Amino acid sequence: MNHIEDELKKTLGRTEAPETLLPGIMKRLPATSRTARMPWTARLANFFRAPWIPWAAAACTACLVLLVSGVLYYRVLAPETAEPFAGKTPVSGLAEIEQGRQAKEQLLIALQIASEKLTEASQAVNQPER
Amino acid sequence: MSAKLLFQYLVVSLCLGVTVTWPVVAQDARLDYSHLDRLADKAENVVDVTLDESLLRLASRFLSAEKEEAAVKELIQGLKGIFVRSYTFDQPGSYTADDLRIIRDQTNKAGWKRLMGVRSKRQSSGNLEVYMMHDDRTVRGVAILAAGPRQLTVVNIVGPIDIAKLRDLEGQFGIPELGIEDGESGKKGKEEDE
Repeated sequence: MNHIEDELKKTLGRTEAPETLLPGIMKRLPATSRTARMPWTARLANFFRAPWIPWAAAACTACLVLLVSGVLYYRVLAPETAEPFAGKTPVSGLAEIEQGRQAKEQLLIALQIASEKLTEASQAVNQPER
Repeated sequence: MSAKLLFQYLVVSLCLGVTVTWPVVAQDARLDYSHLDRLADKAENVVDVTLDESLLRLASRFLSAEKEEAAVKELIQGLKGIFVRSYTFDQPGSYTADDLRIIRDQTNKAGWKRLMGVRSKRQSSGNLEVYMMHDDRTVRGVAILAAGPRQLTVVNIVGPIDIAKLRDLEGQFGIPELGIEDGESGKKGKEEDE
């Protein structure tokens, strides 16, 4: 029994690795594992060399172009023709009715004031001798 | 230059372009006149109307299809807001020149154009200035600044205003003949400038 134990200890015991082991392992490692030791700039550069990057860039570019075009369209081109009040929903609730009436009243007051001031300006322009 | 590198340059340039142009696209004709809030205590009468886009939509649903209200409904279509602040004072000198300057400074920014300016010799009327923000195709907002000895009014309409529609409404709601023609907004207004 002791003999078997001794054999096992001898077999499983710690032994120093030969000096040629590490370089050998490093040589056999795939290239991707070696990048772990690269500086972050090199790793970033490697990332952008991935084969899917051009497609991702194209997709991002297309999305950005669509986004910018959409924003420009709705802010600059569409206001003339857009129907901002599309999708009208029926007014529901007394609070909303009251709020709507107040909003209408405020709107008419605002337009009244605006038109009064424009009238004054127009009269002054048409009759500069006032 | 490789295709990959070209794509990378394209993406970076596009991102930079969006970052730079976004503020220009996003700017609107909203004026900030919060500095006038302090005048409320001095004023005999204050009118404060703040109608943002959602309230304008709500108000429009309460406008009837009758001729006059239908015209208002059409006028406010596409507007992003109507903001009015009007103070009536019981004595002159209740506001300062700086109060007006802060508003004028905002209308000096890109896109704004002074449509007309009237300085009245009559004490009661004071000065009246009408500004318009527009790009090549559409009007993006209007600002009216009326400053009399006992009254100060600021009207700020934000959003695309169809000049032709505005002209069609002239007389119906007291909106006067401004002598405005499409694309010639600034040219026809006779200006008695300061």
